[in-house]
Amino acid sequence: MGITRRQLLGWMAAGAAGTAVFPGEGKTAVKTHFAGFPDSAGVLHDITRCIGCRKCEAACNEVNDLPAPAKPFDDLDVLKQPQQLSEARYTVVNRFQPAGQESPVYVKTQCNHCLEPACASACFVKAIKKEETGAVTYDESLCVGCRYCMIACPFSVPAYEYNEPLTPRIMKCTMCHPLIKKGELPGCVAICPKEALTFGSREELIKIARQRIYKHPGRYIHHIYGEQEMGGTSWLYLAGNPFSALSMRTDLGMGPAPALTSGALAVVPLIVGVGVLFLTGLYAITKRKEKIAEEERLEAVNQTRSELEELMQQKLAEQKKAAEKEKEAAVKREVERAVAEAAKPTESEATDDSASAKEEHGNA
Amino acid sequence: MHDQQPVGMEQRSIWTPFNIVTGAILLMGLVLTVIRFTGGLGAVTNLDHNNPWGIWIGFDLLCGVALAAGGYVTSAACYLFGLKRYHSAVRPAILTAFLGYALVVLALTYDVGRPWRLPYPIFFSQGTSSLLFEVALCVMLYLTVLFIEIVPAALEWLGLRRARNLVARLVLALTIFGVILSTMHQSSLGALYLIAPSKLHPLWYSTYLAVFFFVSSMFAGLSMVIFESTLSHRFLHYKMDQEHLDQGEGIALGFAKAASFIMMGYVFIQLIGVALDHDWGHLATGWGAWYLVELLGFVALPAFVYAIAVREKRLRLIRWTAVWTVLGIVLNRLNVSLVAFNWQLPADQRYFPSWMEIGTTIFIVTLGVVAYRFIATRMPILYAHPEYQHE
Amino acid sequence: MTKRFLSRRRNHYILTAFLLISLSVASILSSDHSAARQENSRVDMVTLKLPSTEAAGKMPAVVFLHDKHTKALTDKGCQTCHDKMSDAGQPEKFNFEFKNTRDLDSKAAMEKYHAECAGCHQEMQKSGENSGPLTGECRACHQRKPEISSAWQRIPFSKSLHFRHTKTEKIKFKPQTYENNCGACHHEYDKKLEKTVYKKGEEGSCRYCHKDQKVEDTRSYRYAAHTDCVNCHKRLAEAEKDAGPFDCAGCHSRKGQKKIKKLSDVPRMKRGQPDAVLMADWLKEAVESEELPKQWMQPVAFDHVTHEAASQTCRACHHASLEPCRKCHTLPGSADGDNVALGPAMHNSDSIKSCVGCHDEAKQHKNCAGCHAQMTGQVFADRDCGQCHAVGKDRLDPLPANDEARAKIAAAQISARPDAPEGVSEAEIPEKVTVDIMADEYQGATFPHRKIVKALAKKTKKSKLAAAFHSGRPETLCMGCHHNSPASLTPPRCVSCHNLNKEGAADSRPGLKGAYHGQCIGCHQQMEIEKPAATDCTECHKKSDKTLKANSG
Repeated sequence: MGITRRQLLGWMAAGAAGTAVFPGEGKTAVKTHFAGFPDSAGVLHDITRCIGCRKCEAACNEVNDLPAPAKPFDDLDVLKQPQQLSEARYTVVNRFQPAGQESPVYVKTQCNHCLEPACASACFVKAIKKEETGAVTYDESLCVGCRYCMIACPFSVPAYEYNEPLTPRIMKCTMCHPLIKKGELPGCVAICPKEALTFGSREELIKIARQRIYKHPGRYIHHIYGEQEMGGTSWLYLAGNPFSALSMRTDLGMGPAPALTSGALAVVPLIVGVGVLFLTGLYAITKRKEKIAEEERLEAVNQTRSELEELMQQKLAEQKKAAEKEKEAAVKREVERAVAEAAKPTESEATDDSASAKEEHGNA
Repeated sequence: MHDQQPVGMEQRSIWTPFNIVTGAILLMGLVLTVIRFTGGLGAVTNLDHNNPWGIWIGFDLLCGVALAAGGYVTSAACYLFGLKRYHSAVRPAILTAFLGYALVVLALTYDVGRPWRLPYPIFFSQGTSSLLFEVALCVMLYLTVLFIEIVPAALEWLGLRRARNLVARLVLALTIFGVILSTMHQSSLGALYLIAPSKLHPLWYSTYLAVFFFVSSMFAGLSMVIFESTLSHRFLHYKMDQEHLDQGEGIALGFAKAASFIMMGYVFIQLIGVALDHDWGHLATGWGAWYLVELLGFVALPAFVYAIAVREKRLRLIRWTAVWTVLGIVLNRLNVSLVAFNWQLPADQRYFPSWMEIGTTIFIVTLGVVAYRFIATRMPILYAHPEYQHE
Repeated sequence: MTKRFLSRRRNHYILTAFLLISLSVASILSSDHSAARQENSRVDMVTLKLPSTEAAGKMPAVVFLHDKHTKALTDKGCQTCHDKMSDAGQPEKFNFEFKNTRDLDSKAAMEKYHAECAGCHQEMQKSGENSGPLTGECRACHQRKPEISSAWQRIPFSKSLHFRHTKTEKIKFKPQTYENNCGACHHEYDKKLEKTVYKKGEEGSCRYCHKDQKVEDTRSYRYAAHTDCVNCHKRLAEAEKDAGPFDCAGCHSRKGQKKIKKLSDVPRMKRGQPDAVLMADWLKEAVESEELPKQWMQPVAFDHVTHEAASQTCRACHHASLEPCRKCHTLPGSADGDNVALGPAMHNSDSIKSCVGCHDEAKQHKNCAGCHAQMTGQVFADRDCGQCHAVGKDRLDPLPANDEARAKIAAAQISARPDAPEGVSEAEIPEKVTVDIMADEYQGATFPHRKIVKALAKKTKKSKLAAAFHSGRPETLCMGCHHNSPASLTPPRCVSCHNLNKEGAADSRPGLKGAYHGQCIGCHQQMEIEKPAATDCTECHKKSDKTLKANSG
């Protein structure tokens, strides 16, 4: 087992990086800002330099083996219509004609490779990943095709192969990840004749961008698009016109995408924990209430029954007494009557007496 | 229970209007299925780069789950809050929920690119930072829970007493588990859209989106139980036992009252949401009018009507209000997922479903109706099985 | 069964219909109607907005089309809407504020507007003529999103226009004791006399007193200009003399402005301004102590004549009054000069009123921008102070005691400046240069080097600024492309600084390919040279055999 110090450090870095990809996740008390992997790469797009030659589109098409376009890349009339990224085009150039300006402005669009990508945080199978090189890559072998990444992406970058029946893929710029791992330049950067695209470490690119703004204050808007947008992107832009005039969204905010959902995710364990306790407790209370109610009911029934029984007994005893009294009286009367009859017998009296005696017995 | 069917049901012709229309829909569904799985989503849907989710998500998933909320609401009321008088509503609600969720999953197999990978997020590669992962996990678990909850009905039907008793003992644990799962995924369906503040109109986007979805799912569930029992009372009256018939009115009144309260609360928290995000200015726009139509016309107003109907014990009004509320929920889910989503795009880039998408949705809904009918006419759903009547 | 079936189906219908309706409502809501609306812009659109009152605040401002009304009411005349006012001894004037509403408070003004506008419209309608909106048709006038947009253009009172007003005999300025018509417009308020008077030699810009809004009793610029210009033009027109325009479009539309006669050669304005100024803050003190201070900046010889010719108005440099700069911008700064000290006042590159700021602006002209836009701009440290601060010690002996003496020194310095930039002799310019160090997909480019240099020389020749600042070194022009190296007629090759491989260039310096394309294309774009198009590769390079083979095979 020869683990070199380098390897060990590498693993540690990878581990740290793994936890750093979504630093907002689950952390509510500590808010740290992930400023990108150290020395990760990026591209600076100097919009003022772009001449709209579409060479980058052609190079991208070739490097990524994408289907041939309907019109060749050197047909610049294509730029008269707005161009959109698609499953066959990882990058497009668009022409803008800002008001009060004679020369048009060209803007290249592709995946911005966010430092904390919304798409990666949205992917429920981790098919999209922020690489240490800075590239945001996509693993076809995991993708389910739910297209939540497309919903999540604030720049509307990922495209989908809608016409692929069984193996549709998400298609987007990879920053030529395989090439940059080999130490080569991304296709578009390598071909750009005007060096409107500069590849390099993101930190270095920010310095270069600042230098350019400082040296040519009249040429640039004093803003590096992508330095802060959506928590920062690996692709950076400099422009001479307000970015909003170039159809670039300036209302996205400076927070990273995962921060938008971290709160909702952090509540999950809370709901499970507190929920089980709460509901079980609720059930227990309900049950207890039912039990008490049942007991109280039984007790009440029992009490009523015993009270009733007692009352009955009492009544019975009273009646018994009364009956005995009656009996005695009857016997006495009988005796007296017998005595009287014996002395002076009449028909009518005898009938009356026997009826009343019968009645009393019935009552008892 | 064949012997319970009224005489004459057995002999009727299969060419009833219901069967013909259903058959036609199912046939169309099969054709669409073939097109979908040979030509891809592009052949069937109007989805595009800017609009990756259409009505299969907006209606089938979001509305499907919200309207299946009756399951957890009813079982929670009956078993956890001890409101035994709602007992007869539990099984139909659970069945509806189960079918609802099953159809949601079915709809997803149409919508996702590689449906056989649907278990991937759970068993293969867990993207825990995604709210969709939470939804997937909860839906999977809850579907299992619902299945176990409904299985006693099948076992009773099949006469497997011991198995049935074994499962029936799990009721409490399952209910608690089910309520928690529902809480989580009902809310996380709303939270799905938290990631896209730049695409969803500010009146619908809120950091409280999850709460809105959860709270609205409660009254959606309650109203759905009322609505769906209305339908059962009309079409499957003959299957109901005395308990069911007796409790029907009480359930409607009780649920309507609860729904009314929750809806008032919902309106209130929606307004808090507007206030917190300082969205008042948006109310003066066309979008604001549409938002007010949804909030006032389809929540506040039915809540008020519910309250009146309950006080005056007007059952018919309650039932119509239930339909109204259900439509309100559908409106809300469609607004969040389709109408107010991508609101900034020009009209020609907006999404409108193709007839084939609508057809597929109708097909899936029809499947649900047929399945419900099949199960409810055979298994002890709307009546208690004579052997288990006293449990 | 049928009934049952029907009602079930009804539910389906309701659901589907509901779905469809909600989606279509949404798509209607979200559609952009503005695209459908016809773009309609007018010069004479006036937005009538009263200072907010309870009543007025609730309605959007009124969109009023002035020329439309002028045209419709030609017969009735301005008095339909505007009252006449007369100052003693002055010709009659219209008050170009609607019916004296200026002196009313908002509510009264609103009532007046409502009564007068709608009242007039009503009368028109009664007499069977076309009329504007009537009472009750609020939104016809009060428009939240006006269908008409304003095409109003500011009209600069250019030197040409100024000169024509000075020299014309149509303006009868009384008393007619002055050579020019200055007093017809220029005036000053005399507090003692409580009226405006003309003071010769103290004319300034209207803007000094007439601000955007009325300040105390001073009329707003807009009101003053309209009262004075339009009344005069109108009066002249009524006297059947060739007069200036008095409708909106005449002055404020592009079309109208084009019609205004422009003099190509405008004589200087005469207000006693100097021809040349010797600028140094220490001069006065030095003259008093009769010796040159120990720490001193060489004075600048300022060519007032040339600067006057190069700018449209005096206000281009003078802002508060036509006083010398140093009066307010003292060396340490003073409250009069808004605490902007003399140094920054002259050198602040952000201000168009400073020397440096204005010169930087001038470098953006297409004839200059080809080279200058590529250069590091506006970093003060890179500037060569001696270029302007060039008056040497020898010229300052003796120290000039008065303005006249100073002006003489300055004039001498100025006349020593070259009239045109010094050129490089043709033989020293390589005729053609081929760049093929990185030929790959395309062959190398051969470009007509000498032709390009000559074209640049021609373009800079006309510029006095270039003549002054490119001075001394014939190689200055070369540095337009061969930048950042020491000035030389034999500059180093581009590859000396720019990497052939882009990967190597980790700093902000472009790689070789980027440098070449940046320089050539950038310059062509800045100088608005349309051919060859930046994207037309084969105009400069031929496709290499390699590429051709790959394409054909």
